[in-house]
Amino acid sequence: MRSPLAFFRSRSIQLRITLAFVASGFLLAVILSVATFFTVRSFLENQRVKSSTRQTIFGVLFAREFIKQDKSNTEGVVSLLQTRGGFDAMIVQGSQYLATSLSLTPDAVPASLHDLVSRERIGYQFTKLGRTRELAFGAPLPPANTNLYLFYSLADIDKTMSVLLRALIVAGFAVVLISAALAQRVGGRILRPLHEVSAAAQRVAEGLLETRVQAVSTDEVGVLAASFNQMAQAFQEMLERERRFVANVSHELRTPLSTLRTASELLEAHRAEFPPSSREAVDLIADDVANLQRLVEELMEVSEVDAGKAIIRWEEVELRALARAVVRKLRRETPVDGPLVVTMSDKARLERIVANLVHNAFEHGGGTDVRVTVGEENGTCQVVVSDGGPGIPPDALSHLFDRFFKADRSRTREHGGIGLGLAIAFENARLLGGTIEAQSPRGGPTTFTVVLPRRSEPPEEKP
Amino acid sequence: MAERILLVEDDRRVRRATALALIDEGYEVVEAEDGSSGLRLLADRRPDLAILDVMLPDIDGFEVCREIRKRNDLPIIFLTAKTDTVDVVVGLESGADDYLTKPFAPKELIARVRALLRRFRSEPRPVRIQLGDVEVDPDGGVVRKGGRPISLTKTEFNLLRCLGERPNQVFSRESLLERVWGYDYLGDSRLVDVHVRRLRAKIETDPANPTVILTVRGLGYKASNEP
Repeated sequence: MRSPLAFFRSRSIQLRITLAFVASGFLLAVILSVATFFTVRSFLENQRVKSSTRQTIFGVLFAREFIKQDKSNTEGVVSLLQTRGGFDAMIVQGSQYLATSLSLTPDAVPASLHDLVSRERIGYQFTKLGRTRELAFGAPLPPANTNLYLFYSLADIDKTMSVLLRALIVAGFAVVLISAALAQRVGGRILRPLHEVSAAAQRVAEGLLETRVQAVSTDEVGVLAASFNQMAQAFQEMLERERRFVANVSHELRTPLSTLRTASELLEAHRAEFPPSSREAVDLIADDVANLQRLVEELMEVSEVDAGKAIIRWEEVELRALARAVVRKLRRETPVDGPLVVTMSDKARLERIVANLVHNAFEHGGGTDVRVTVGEENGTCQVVVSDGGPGIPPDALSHLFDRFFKADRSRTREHGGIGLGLAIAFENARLLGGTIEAQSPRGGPTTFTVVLPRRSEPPEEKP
Repeated sequence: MAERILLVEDDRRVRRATALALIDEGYEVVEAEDGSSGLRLLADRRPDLAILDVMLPDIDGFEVCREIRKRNDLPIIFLTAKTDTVDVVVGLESGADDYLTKPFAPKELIARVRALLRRFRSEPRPVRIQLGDVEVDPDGGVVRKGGRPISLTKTEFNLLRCLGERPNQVFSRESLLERVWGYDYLGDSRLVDVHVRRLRAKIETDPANPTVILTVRGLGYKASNEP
């Protein structure tokens, strides 16, 4: 079974720090309050006992003197004592009694005090009369079986104590709140560098590899920040090495491939002069050389984008004419509809986007009902490429623009695609400030929508 | 007689493959592996068209291009790596008529070669064009500014003719690509911009404030026949 603490441990450190602070604040406040409360109360009560003792001694002496002179006039004693004030008096004589207050009866005398007085001693005891606490003094008087009791009210002390108690509770709350606030501050200060590291890690994961954290302190958190920076640096260098490797390999492949391409096209032009088996060989060579060349070009483009070296040439572009030209160049009969849409963009990149999507629609979208529609709305312009094809499974849809992703592993090799086309189209759309969305209702036709900002001026250069 | 093409390219295998593709199309190919031998062969063999690689071991392709332009008005195509976008403008400024980025499909190169040769071969219909103090002689080819003859390359001449035949009509860059270069929409509009700049440098009194070839912002270019 999990302890309740485990729950907090699994939550935030901030919460745990706050809870610890609040708990210690609360405990401290309770201890201080209890100590203060009882110290003050016992002090006040002691004071009261001292002053009451003095008054009682006077009262008892007075009563004895009075009884000595006017024998057995206990009534007179009580009424005289009543005039002195500050206490309630009661004389108990056997089963009879006289009191200065109606609420005072012999029952109010605590048994232990009664016993003490019965043994001819003077004493006091705390007790309760009705709802108020009282300090009861008892003393024997000369006639046998006659005792004098004096009750001093402690109501004023109790009132003081209740005010004090309220003040202590308020102060206690204040202490708890202050601890919580303090915990937030202290926790924040400790945790901020951690949050920074974590946010930086997030950014690195999103691909912002140049992200670093500012390591200000030399404590454990500072060491963490420094280690993080080292790791990010190493990671960035590793990726850069890999990217450069791919770029270099592609570059080296380029020249021999272009020779191969030229030579194989030459052979292809003369395929009719070859015997049938060689004819097929020529076709295979020509096809795969073309595929290989496309792969190398795509790798070059990807590595150029990754290196941040992609140059965008802004110029005025008319989308419908561009789409028609692309379709014509691909030697397709695809219809292109929509109004004239003029925007600032990079013609070559847009061409590659549209060519990729149209090519994709024919290679993977079944090739039926392929159509291109251009349009504009709300400051954006769109190029929509749709097919009548078999659709894309939902789990593949979200990976469509991943590099080297193939929705249909068994078939794509046959088409010569290597899964970079859509990724490159997406990167190009992103470079132009736009995006590509793919929609494919289960089993239905697939629609690729290129959304680009409609610009009349090239965008400001980012510094 | 077969038309003769000068191919200057330092990589032997690429050069041979390209030459084979051109020979297969019926052209005669003169091969050079560097700039200086290219220029020597230009004088010795008098080719009808030159294809220049930009990266050459001795003189770079742009320099070769400028050198050819000084001596001769033959169509020039230069070859550049895809990544060097600055190269395209520099190459066109050096006087080339067209360019291709490597790697190119041989069919593409052959299409460009054919288009350029056809344009350079064809004799223009005689027309008289008068734009301010610039006049195009009806007997073909001779352009005078204020009575003094100026020399234009064939492409510059075709551009001036195309614009000048219909003064004040605005031509988009795409339509100029189509009319002057014989391309469809996918041609590079920088071809037009650089050639207009070169044309202005020759026929405008003040090329910075053109009065003959005017830019129409957002649309293209037009020729003005106002004096």
